[in-house]
Amino acid sequence: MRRHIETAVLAAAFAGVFLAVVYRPDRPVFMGEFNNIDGSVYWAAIARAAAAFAVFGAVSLVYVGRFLGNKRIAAFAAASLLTALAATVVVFAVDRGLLHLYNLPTGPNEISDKMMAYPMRETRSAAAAPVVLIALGLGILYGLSRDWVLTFRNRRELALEKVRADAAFLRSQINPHFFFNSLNNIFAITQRNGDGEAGDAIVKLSELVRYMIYEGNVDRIALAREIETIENFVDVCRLRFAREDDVDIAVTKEGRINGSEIAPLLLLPFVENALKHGIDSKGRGWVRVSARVDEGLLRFRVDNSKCGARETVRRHSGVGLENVKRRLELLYPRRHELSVTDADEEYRVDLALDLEE
Amino acid sequence: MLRCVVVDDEAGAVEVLRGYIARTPGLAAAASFRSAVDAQAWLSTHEADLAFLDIDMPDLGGLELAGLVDRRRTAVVFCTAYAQYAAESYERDAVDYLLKPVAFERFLRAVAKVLARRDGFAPSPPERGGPAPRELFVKSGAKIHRLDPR
Repeated sequence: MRRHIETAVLAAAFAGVFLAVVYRPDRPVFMGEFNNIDGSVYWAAIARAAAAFAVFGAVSLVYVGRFLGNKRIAAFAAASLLTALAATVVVFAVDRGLLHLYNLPTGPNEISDKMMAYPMRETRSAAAAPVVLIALGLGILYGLSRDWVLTFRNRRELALEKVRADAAFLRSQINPHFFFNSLNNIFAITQRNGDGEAGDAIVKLSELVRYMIYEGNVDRIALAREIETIENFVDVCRLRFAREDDVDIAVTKEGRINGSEIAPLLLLPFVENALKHGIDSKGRGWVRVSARVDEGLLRFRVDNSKCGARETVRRHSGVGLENVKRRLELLYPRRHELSVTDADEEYRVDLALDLEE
Repeated sequence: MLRCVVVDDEAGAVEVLRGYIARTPGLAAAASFRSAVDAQAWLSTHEADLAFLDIDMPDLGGLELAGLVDRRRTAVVFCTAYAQYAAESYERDAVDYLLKPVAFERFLRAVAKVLARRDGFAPSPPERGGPAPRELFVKSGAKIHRLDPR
């Protein structure tokens, strides 16, 4: 939204500058010149405004972010120059068209009836190339300063986020040492009574909580660890259901999962959400989680049926996803793509994440 | 047969490890203690091959006790609820670091490491211990720093 407003304001500014045409009065209309008597000069101005804005907008709003963010300077230069060249060609073509349309002189030896009829008129001639080059320069300046401000703001928000997370972490410290020792003592009871199933569940739960408390606080964690935690989480969730319930949850992983790193607890909320909505209290419904790493790009997809969705839960969980979206914006700016498909029968989240620093 | 010692101030933890030792062929429980001071007294007159040590104990902690054990004889595996002592435990040349509650499979992996070390090479001081590490991770507060020794 904010971006659309920014674009509209910039476009209006460009149109204003070019329509406030500066006339050079008392000169005859020469070849390739437009005038304000027949109005041709306004069309020429509009063409220049549009071309200049296209170059300016493409460079400052798109190319700086896409190419300079990851230091692809050659690609940035190539894209900018090609855009500028294209804009110049378009303006040139529009000029030729206008000259013919308004029956103005197009060559040095040509004499049009306008030259004869209005020998002394306000005219304006502006070659396309300088206009486009100025727009290019302004676009680079504006794009760089805009990027700088955004980065600065991002960094500050990230710091704030960290302070908030740290505070939450402190609150959550119900003495983990006591907690894990107590779990271990309960684990001892299960071992004494030969209850391997309960023992396994306690081990998985403690691993899950340990990950959230200790490892959830670092900047980056092995992707394999995050996925292992997802599997633990799924196993702990399975405990909710009866033995005879055939709960359909699958987690698959492909590609180079090992050796990649990710911000911790970034993927888990999607799975949490899917389990909440995808499976009802009787264990009906299904959830599919898949992670695939290809050349540093993680494709993470969570599909779930919509049978477990109750209105109250659905309203509630919007906050969780909003949080993840914010974290993605802050931690992986311009390096992620999140798409949510909300169909009648199923719900799907597709996340593409560039893991390489 | 590896003679094992278990030291933990919590009865449940001792019980679990003794149970695991009993289930594992090749391991025998020599003694177990609820206090590191008692364990130290026993270890000064008896021989053990493997010691499972808790870290947070009253009077004498597991890290200190590990410093008093004759390491040429006795391999040390820490077994604790604290996740944040891992780096320090490796500094003490511990063979493994187990987090409670420990699954049996994880326990077996630690035992396999102990056996591999006994068969391969005696616990060596760090200055001549194998190839130089390629990188080193140091945890400070919430951050993990990577050090490149070259």
